[in-house]
Amino acid sequence: MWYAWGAVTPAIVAFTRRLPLADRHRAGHALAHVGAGLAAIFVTLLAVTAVRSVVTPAAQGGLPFWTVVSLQYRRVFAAFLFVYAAIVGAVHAVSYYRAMQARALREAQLETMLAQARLDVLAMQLHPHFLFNTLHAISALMTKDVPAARRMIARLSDLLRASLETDPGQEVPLRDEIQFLMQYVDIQRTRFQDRLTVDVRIAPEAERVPVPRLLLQPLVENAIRHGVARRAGAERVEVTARLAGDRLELRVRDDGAGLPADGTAVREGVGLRNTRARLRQLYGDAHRFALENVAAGGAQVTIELPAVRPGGEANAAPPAASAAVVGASARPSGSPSP
Amino acid sequence: MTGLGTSRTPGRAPAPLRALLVDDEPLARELLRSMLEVYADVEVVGECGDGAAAVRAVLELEPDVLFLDVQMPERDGFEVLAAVSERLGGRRGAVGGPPGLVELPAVVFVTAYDQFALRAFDVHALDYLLKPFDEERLDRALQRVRERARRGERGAGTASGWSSAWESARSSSRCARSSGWRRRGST
Repeated sequence: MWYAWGAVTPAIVAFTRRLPLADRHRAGHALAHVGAGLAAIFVTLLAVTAVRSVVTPAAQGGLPFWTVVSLQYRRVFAAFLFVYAAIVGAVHAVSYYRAMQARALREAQLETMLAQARLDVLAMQLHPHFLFNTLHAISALMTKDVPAARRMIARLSDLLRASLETDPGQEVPLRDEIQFLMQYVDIQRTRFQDRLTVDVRIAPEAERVPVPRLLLQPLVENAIRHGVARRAGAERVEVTARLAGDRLELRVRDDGAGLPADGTAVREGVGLRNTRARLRQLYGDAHRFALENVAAGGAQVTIELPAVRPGGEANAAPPAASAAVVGASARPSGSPSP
Repeated sequence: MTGLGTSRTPGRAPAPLRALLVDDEPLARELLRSMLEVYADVEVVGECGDGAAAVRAVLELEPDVLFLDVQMPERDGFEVLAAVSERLGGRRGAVGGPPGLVELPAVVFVTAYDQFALRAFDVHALDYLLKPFDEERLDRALQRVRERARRGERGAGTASGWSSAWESARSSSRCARSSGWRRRGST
């Protein structure tokens, strides 16, 4: 009598796909499945009995149709219920498997993007224009200001070193990231001289919050490339960091030409694309990245990250004791952190 | 080192090559200027820090040779050349065109990275200096400029008849002129 299941199985599969037991309506769907299950068992039994009464009437022992149905019902109900449940379970298993495969594929794609970002971070740090222009500036400085030339060489070396050991997943305290950023800014200010002002304002309580390495430098580079490098005259880049509850809010703002107003797709450089990819990989939905125009002119990038202390505890409502720890650690690097 | 340039053209005292330096980095302009100081036959007539100013300065100062950075604010090096050609176009052909009142200067691109080299070839740049460069490389570039000047490809144009468009441009030019600058033909 199992062949009858072959006929109703597609209906059950379709029904299960429509009303899966794994989404937020699962209670309602479960009720519907109880009804549908009973109906499927009844229909199957009815069909089987009807076919038998026609094909092999002798096997029915001369009993009336509905008596046969009710006898069979008692005999096979548990088995039929099991079959129904098995079909529903199989449908779910298949869809879980597919979802898992899709997730694995997505993860593999993210992994590839991250690997690409890793390479791009390296390439960006060694941005050929930046590198060779800096060397050219050193060439200009070395006969007229030897200490300045030496400082440029030291800064450039710091940048090259940092780019060689880059692991985009690694986090450093914001304070260290700012220190690194200032080395880059120092070179750019020597190159562009009075045309470039970089203003960095970090709230003291934000200094220890871990951030991905080389998070800010590409954003500042982007601001400089679309500001001072595109436009004659002075440019100002502003970097701010503050804590808002348990969120770290980083902002890089320039007073350059801003984003194109005609709604055309913003052309994102390697720097911004990488930053987006890295943040997505590291924080998923827990971060926010926004690139927009500022009313006063220019563009700004805003990044919000979950602010987690090195110990792993969120920064929201810090107890008095750890607030004192933050105060102590606000001193220049080198002081051992508890 | 001094006199290296003139020593290659013995027996002649040609008018010095009038050079305009265009780079958005002050240090880069300073460096090029100091490297050109040793050449008695090269006179730096001006410096510009952005493309728009460079267009005005080329039209106004009519240099013999233009040291042109590629990546600059306002207008990049290629856009500078396009704008200059366009504004000269009404009076004469651009590079390779029929002789007219004013010729485009010899162009030596100066850039940090050679991704533009093919384009530079397209616009008939005379040479292509990669930063950082040394005296020897600059000397080779200057030899090419001199050879071109000797072959007479650089037309002996005069500055007569500059329209009022240049006059207004001149007043807002952001270029620093060298003290001894003069307009071609005024001597």
